[in-house]
Parts: sequence; structure tokens; C-alpha cells
Amino acid sequence: MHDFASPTCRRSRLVPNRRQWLARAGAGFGTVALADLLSAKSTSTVADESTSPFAVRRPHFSARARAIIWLFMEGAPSAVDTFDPKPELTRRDGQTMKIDVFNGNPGPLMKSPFAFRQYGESGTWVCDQYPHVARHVDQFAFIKSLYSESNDHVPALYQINTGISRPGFPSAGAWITYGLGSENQNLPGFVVLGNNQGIKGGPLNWNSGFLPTAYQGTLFRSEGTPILNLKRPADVRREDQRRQLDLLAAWNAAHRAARPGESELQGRIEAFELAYRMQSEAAAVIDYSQESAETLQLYGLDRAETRSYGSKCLLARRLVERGVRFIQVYSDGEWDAHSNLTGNHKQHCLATDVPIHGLLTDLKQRGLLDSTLVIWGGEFGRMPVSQGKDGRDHNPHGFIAWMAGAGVRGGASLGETDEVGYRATVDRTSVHDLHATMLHLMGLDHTRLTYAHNGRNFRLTDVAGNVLWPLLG
Amino acid sequence: MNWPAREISSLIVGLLLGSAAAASAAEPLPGSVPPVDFRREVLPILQLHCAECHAFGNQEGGFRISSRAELLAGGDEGPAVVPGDSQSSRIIRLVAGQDGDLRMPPNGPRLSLEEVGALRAWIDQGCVWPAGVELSDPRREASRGHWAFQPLARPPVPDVRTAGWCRTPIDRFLIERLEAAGLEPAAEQPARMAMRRLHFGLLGLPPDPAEIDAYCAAAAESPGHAWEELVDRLLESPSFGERWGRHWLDIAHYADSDGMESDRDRRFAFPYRDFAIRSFNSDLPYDRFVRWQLAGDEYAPENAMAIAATGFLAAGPHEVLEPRLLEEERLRNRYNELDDILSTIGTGLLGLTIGCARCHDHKYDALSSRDYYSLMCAFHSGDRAEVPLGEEDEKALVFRDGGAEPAPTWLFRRADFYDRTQPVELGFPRLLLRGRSTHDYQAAARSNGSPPVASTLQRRALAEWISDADHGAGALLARVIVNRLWQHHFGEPLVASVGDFGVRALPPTHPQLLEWLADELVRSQWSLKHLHRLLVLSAAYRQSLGTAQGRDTDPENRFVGRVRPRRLEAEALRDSLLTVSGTLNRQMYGPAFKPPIASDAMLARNLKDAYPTNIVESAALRRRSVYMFHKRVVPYPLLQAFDKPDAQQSCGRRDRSTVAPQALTMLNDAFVRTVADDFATRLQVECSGETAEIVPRAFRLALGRAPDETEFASSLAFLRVQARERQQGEGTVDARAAERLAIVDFCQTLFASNEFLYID
Repeated sequence: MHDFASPTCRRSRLVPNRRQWLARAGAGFGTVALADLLSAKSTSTVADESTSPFAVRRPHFSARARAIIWLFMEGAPSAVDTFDPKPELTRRDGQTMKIDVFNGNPGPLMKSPFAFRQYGESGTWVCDQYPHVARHVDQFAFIKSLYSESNDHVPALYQINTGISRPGFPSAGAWITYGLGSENQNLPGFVVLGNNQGIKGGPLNWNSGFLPTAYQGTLFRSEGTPILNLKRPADVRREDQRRQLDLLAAWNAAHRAARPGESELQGRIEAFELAYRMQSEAAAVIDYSQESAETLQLYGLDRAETRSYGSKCLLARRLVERGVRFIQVYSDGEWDAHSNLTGNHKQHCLATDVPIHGLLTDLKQRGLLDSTLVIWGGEFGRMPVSQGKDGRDHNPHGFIAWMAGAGVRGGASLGETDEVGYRATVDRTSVHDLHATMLHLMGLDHTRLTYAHNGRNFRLTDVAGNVLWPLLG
Repeated sequence: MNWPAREISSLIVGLLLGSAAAASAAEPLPGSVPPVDFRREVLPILQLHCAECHAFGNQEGGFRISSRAELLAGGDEGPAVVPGDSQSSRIIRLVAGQDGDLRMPPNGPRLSLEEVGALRAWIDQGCVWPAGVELSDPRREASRGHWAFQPLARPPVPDVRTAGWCRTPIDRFLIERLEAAGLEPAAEQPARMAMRRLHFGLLGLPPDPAEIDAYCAAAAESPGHAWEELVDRLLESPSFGERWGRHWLDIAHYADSDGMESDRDRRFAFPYRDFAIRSFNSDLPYDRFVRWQLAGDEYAPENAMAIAATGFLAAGPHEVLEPRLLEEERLRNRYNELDDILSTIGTGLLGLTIGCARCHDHKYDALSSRDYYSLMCAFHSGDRAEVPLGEEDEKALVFRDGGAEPAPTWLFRRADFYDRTQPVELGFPRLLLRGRSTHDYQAAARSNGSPPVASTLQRRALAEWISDADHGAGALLARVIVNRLWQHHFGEPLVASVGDFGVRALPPTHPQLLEWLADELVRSQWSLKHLHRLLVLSAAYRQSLGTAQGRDTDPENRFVGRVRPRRLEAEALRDSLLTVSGTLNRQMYGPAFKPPIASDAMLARNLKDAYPTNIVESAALRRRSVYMFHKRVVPYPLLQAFDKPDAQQSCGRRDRSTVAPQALTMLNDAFVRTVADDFATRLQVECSGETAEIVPRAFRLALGRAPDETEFASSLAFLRVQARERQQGEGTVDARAAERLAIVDFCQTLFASNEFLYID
């Protein structure tokens, strides 16, 4: 189970007590929400906060980050076409190379269709499709030598999300929420910003696995009804529901009083009040009316091609501001360029370039980047050889990600793939290493964050994982 | 050590200096060093530092150390030991850390200088390994005395002081512990509540108020007799199999689709689900129930139920990877699926966590890698298949062997499925074999009236072994299922880790009781209904919530001196909503129904069979939840919110979370609101619209009791105020509609109440 009593934990973070988080949760959401909070507090006995699955828990050691935003590029972007140009690949364009690929029939080596240029003091190469992202490269720490197990999307998605390529294991977001709780009890601690098409492999990507189900990710929408069942039935008004809840509270209080020692009953009483509050708070999170026109423009909400991802990036910032721990922002559609790599990657770069620039800029100017870890990457990479005329097949043997923000050493780069970008050769980095590093920045020792299940103490990093120290500042 | 200190220090000096000169200086003159005692000085070193990776089925680097011959044979890198010449023996350089980066053992404590010295001297003296001296298998040692791996015993039923309280032998085991702890059992639960709890426990449904009344009347006449009659009646109800079949489907991780990326619908998974329900209803002996699930096709190829039973092996997630795709990926997928089968059998049937052994041996795990791959042989010749079942176009998703010839199988070191150097044959773990061998079971599988089938009969051999309580794994099989039944009836299992009975599991809270129950199950020809009767006829089962003293002394209720409120499982919650609203469709068996799911809740891309978006509520969709189509990557939100497992892995114990999304579901979910509306309709019809009658009737239907005065008053006040307020402000409705909506709101509030969800 938990191992939070760390002998090395000298500078424990301030753990807000229940009253503090109630006040924090209420702040800025108008008097209605606050009044609800106070009335909830006065009408029910406050349970021991440790009974809440989301109660804030101490990290193992001083944390660099209090939140993670994972810009998830589903479908697998190509490293050699984005941030890791390979002159040798250009030179050997059209030559054959013996490579086994997922879909069979590999073509010859294919150079990148994009032009590259160096940016920043770090001289980082970036393709010409990412001009806005390129402005931030001095804050990035690259991992250019990631590898994973499976050549197939869903096992690879499961692996990068849970550490294991088989379905049913807890995701990184679930582990972190389990380890640290959440700073906002009125919102889920682990939020997934998906897309209209859905994600391959579905909710198992943000599963809680054998961890308590409370830690699973909650899909949040930036428009309409942000969370499932957040909207009241058409024939129930807010005040109608309030009277239902008052009657319910009266019944439940009497029921509870006759069953002392059953804290679960109290937990459920509070869950109803929390649900009532969530209806206003979650709706408030997606209300962008208080954001300035400049901000909306910064994220690209003024343009059709960037509106969707920009809106999610803005929502991610608003969730971080409210104390949400872990936010995954899925790309719209897949970088899965089996054909027409040029068109596919152009489109996805365009859709995410300004929004990511907006997010990094906004986080920085609000002082949030110091405490927020931002990650960019997909579930694997793409082959240096062509598929069909102009595509690239899946490549789990070498792929790329970057981190920015809290605790990250800007301008750093770890590892290399071979000269054509096929296989990670220098400082090979596993998904477990990435996870270990994420946990480390959140103040968690990946070897000590364990959960007993089926006769074993399980970890996010299984029996592996090394913190990527060269990338940390 | 009994060496002269001088000799040791000269050896140490030699090692520390590491130079030829120093080593030769340390070289013992014949006769100057007493002969090394292998058993006392060397064997413990091999045992402690080397055996985990180089013995008992493990041979890292191709090197084994179980005998002198193995030691001298060396490994992949060549010889490691040169008798008479420690200087040239690589093993010494490795354990002394003189061989570059490589050091042995790679992890864990290193050899002390004294140990290195002893090993050296032993080699120099010619590696004398006396006959009859053997390494002991740490796995075997750790497990030899472990309670779960022993043959079944029949513990005597204890004599106790409070014998008058006891109704079944179970009570005597419990009261003995209670007495010892200075505790008393809680008073008997009032008839009305006990009846309701039993009804939920056995059928997963609330009783009708008339049934409760009838029972209370009978119990007033003859309490003991009435309870027995009730137990018998409920055990004979077809709803019993639906309830306990659902419990079993968690173990089988049954679903109606493949999961993974494609999540193809399994149109013919349901015959397995129906097999489970029918088996519990007909009290199919548990040993046969298990045997059929492993090898029904090899036992009774003409029996549709036996065929469908092997759906157990086909129930897990599955991805179809076309032959054109990368071979490595297809193999990974295949062995992941076989691992899923083995893990399900391990934790689900035997309480053994065998998944770890796929990659490596661990000295505390009951099974080694060799055990794992020897078991895998049973399934390596087979795969999923849709086969005709009975008549017409009925089919079933089952497991089938490809032919009579077993497929070759290897021990894949570190799970590397291209490592095909160590062939293995079907074999059962030695820990769970007493006086019979794998070959005996294989012979039995072949000879014992076996019908001619194009099948290897390896699964049948496995099934024989797993259900053999005298010589095989049957004792463990019985203990595990008994624990599960106890868990469902009493809330907490006797062995907390229901899927892990291994050496690191917590011992049972009541070891003798568990043992007695397991033995009783086997003696009753594996009749689960017999066991159910025993459990629910006990005085312990009929206890009340108890007193403050009992709660304070034993807050977790480890001593079972009372009962605790039990939350309904997701399916029982939905089934109760349907029952109370008067709209439950009792149609049993057959293809699963798909309820409407909000498009907001469909979160997966690229499904081969997308979940329909145009489903309209209807009576056909008001069947019990066990018949609901479980689409793996499109879970039904209401059930998922209340912790229905995701069917990715075998689940023996559901989570019981208490979170806001559950409350949002009860407040805002369209289905909940709809059944509240149906409940209101039912009340209005049954009570002719009289509000004063509606309130008590609603309480009796939803909670099995009449409201007390306060509840009656608050309910009436609510209905009045709600009806009035709904005619005020925005979105008002007329008086008649307002009155109706007030009743719907009231019904929904009852559904949301803690008393509806938690059964005393």
C-alpha cells in the first residue's frame, strides 16, 4: 500500500486542511458556490479528510511540479520530420534498408519533406511546420531515444499510459492522483481532454486498473456539458434539485446516525453535496467569458484550424489554476501517417503549433510554468523508410518526446537514434524511465509508490525505470 | 569457519591484491588447509547467492549449479569452474568482482571474503560434491508447510459455551473466537430486515412487500422453520443463478466484445454466460463446473452446455491481427492472450498469482517459469473458435484445440517468444501433486471413457488435476471458492486476498472454519447450494448491526460478531431500480441487450462494431443487468460508476468507491430519471393518486418498510412544497403536472437514499 512516510522528507509541503480547500474551491466562483459549500459544511458532520480518496497527500520528497499537462500526440508523430532531422536520411533517400515493419512491404528510405532550421541559444532543430513551438525550444528537454514494445497503436498507447502494453493497468494519471490526491475536491484530479472521434483503445488509456476506481481519469469537454451527467434532467431545475438534496440529507442523516462507525455512509452523503457543487464549478471552468480577447487569440481560438486544440490548451491552463493534478490533452485526429505524411503532419502541426505556443506563453506569464510539467509526445514514432508512396509505418524502436516547465533543464537533450532515425542507440530510454521522471518531478519516488494487488506490490514502472537526471535542472 | 585464522587472512590478502604473486602466495600447500566441508561451507553459498538464477528451472546464461556435473559443464560463455584451479575458474573472478563490470550475484548481497575463500579452496581441492547432498528448492521450502497447499483436513467442530446460540457448525467456529476475544454475537436481526438481506444476497433483487409480510407472519409462528423454507425457496428461484452467475462472470472477466482497438462484438459469447447461470441454478457440482470450463469439449463433446463452458477460456480481451502484419506483433499478442488465460486460472480458480513466472522466477512465488510454461502447454495447441451449438444457427464462442497432436512448447526465458531452446511438456506444479504425476493425469484423461475428439486432451488432464482434492490441486480449488462464497454472504472474505493464497498472503481470519467448509464442500460432492444453505442458515448470518461495544472492539468485524450494511453492486442497483419501478423484464438467457448510451460516453475510435447511437428505451431493455451487452471499450456509465469491473482481468473483489460521479448519476442520469418516472406511475396507479397512501407504499417498495413518523411528515411536506414551487418561477408547469413531477422527484430521492443502496 502507500508508503508515504519518507525518512528523507524534510521539507514537506504545506498540506491544506479541509477548511482551506473548501475556501480555495469556493474562491472565484461567485457567492452561490461558496454559500453551498458553507451550507454543506454546516448541515453535515465533516468526515475525516483522510477518508476522501482525493485528500491531499504528502509527496515522498519536495516536488518540483504540482501539475502535469501531457500534450498527447495520438497516432505517433515522426521524429525525423519534427525535431530530429537526420542528414544521413536525406543523403540516402531512396536507398533500401532491411527493416521489418508492422504492415509489411517497407519502401526505401525516405527523407523528410520538411525544411529544418536551428532555433534559440540551444540551436535546436525544428521543422518549418512548427514555427511558434520553435520559439520555446530553449525551455525544452528532449528525449530522442525512447523505445517501446509494441508496433500496434493500442498496446503502445496502453504502454505509454500505464507502463504495460496489455489492457487493464492503472494509468500514470491514476497513479499520481492516488499518490498525491487532488488540490481541488470539486473537480476530478485527473482530467482527460479528448476529441470528437474518441481515442483508440478508449477509456482504458486513462484507467485506474487495480487502483481504486476513484483515480480513473475523467473525460472533460471544453464545450456543452463538460462531464457526463453534469447536466440536470430537462424537467429538474436547480432549486428543485436542491430540495431533493435537502430531503435526501435529512433521511441520510437519520440513517447514518443509526449506523455509527460506517464512514462510507458519511462519504456518500458528502458525495452528493460535492456533486451538486461540481455542477456549478465544472460549468464555470469551461466558461471562457472572463478570458481576454488577447488570451483567446494567443491560443488560436480565433482561427478555425487551431480553435479545437487551442480551446483544450486553454482549458488545461484553467484546470491547472484550479488545482487539477494531471491533464492529458489529446490531439484531434491521429498523426498516423501511413500515407501522405506531408499532408498529415502539416495538418497536425498547424492544429497544435499556435495552441502549444499559447499554452507555454500563458503558463509562463502567469507564473504557472515553474510548477507545471508540460510533455509533448505520442505512443511511438515512425519509420525512416516509406510506406506506400509517401507514408511512414509505425516505429516503436526509436521515438521522441519533449518536456518543459517545472524542474526541466531547458535546452537539454538525451539520447540519439541511429543515423537514419530508425532505432534508439545512444542512452536508450524506456517508457518506464519517462514515467519515473514524471513521478520524480511530482515528488514521488517511483520505486515506493506501490499498490498491493494479487500478491505483489505493483508500481507504475513495474520493476524498471530510471529518473532521467540529465534532463532535470 | 573452522579454518586457522592465518589461512583465512592469507586468502583474503590474495583476493584483495588480486595479483598473480599474491594469489600464488595464498595458494595452499597440500595438507595445509583442512578439507572444505561442502555441505556446511559451500552449499549454503550456492543456495543463498546462486540458486535463484541458476537452479530449479532457471539457467541464466545457460549456467546451472544443481550438481557437480552442471557446475563443471559451464554456461553460454564457456566453463566457469576448473577443478583444482580456482585461479582459472571464472566463477571466482565473477564473485570477487574481478571481471570488469560483470559481478555475481548481480543484485543482492555480495559474497563475503570468507565465502569467496571457501569457494576457492573447494575448487582447488577438486570440487568434491558428496553424493546425496542437494540444493533445496527455495520455492519448495517456503511453500512446503504453507497452509493453502496442504491436503484437506477435517477440523473438529469446537465445543463452545454458548452452544445455544449456534445453528450450524459454522457458528461454533465463530463463537469460539468471539468468546476468546471476550465478544458476544449481536442480537438476531428482525425478521423483516433479515428476509430482505437474504433476498438480496441470494437473488440480487429486493423482495416484494407482500413477500416480506408473508415471511414475517410465518416467522412469527415458527421462526426456524420459516427461515429454512425461505432459504429453500430462494435457492430454487431462477434468479439465484442470475445473481451468482454474475459473481462468477467477474472471475471469468466475461464480456460481449473483444476489447482492444477493434472491440468487435462477440455475438456468441452469451452461451457461456448462460452456462454459468444454468450451472448455479442446477447446482452443477463445482468440480465439474470447473472441469467443463477448462475442457468441456474433451469431456462431453455432444453436450451443448459442456461445449459452451469453455467460453471461460475465450472470455478475455482479444485482438485479431491479420497474417500480413508483423509476426513479432502477432506472437506478442498470442502469448499475452495465453498469459491472460493462465492468470485467470491462477487467481480465479487456484488463488495463485502465476503471471510473474512468465518472465522470471521468484523464490517466493509458488510457481517457477518452468511451471508456467509447462501449464501453458495445455492451451498452446488451441485458440478461440465459434462453433455450432445444438440446433439451428446457434453458435458459441469457445476454446478449441487445433488437433490431437500437442503443439511444441518452450520455456521462453524472460518471456522472449523467439527463445526456443528449452522444450517443455505439459506438467503440473510439484507443489500441488501428491502421489500422482502429470503422466497419471494424462493417462486418466486418455483412458477414462474419453470420446474421440480432435483434441490433445491436455486440458482434460489439467482439469482432472485441478479438481482432484486428494492428489492434485482440488483442496486449493475448494478453499478458494469457499472463501468467495463467504465473501459474498458476509461482506469480508476469510482470506483477504481472494485471488492470492500464496505464501505471502495474510492467513485466514478463521483457518479451521475455512478448512472445515472446504472439506464440507468436497464431501457434499462439491454442491455449492449445500454450502450456501450452511452459510445462510447460520446464526451468524442472521445477526443484526450490533452494539456500540462490538463496533468499538472490532471495527472491521474480523470476528463476525455482527453484520454491516452492504452496498449493492452496480447490477443489483440497476436491477433494484427496475424492480421497484415495476418494469423489470424477467426474460432469461439468450443474446445480450444493448441499452442506450449517451454519445458523450463513447470515447473510443476505430471500433470494428461501433456502439449504436439510435437505441430507444423499451421493455426489451429492462432485463436484468447480467444480460446487458458488455462492450469492453464502451462501458455502460451507470454500471461503471458503481464499480462494475472492466473485464480486462479476472476480478475476485470489486472496488467499492464512493465518489461524486455516482451522485451525479443518481441525480442526473437519464435512465435513473426515467425509472423514477415509472415508479411514480406505479405509485399513482396502485394508490389511486392518494398522496397519503403514496408515501408509505413508496417506502415499502423501495426500502421494504413503512416510513416512521418523521419520514412520513418530511415526505408529505416535500411533496407539497415541491408541487407548489414547481408552479413558480421559470419553467413552471400546471398544477397537475407539478404534482406529478413532485412525485417523480420524491421517487428519485428514494432511489438516491443511502438506505436504498446499503442493505442492513
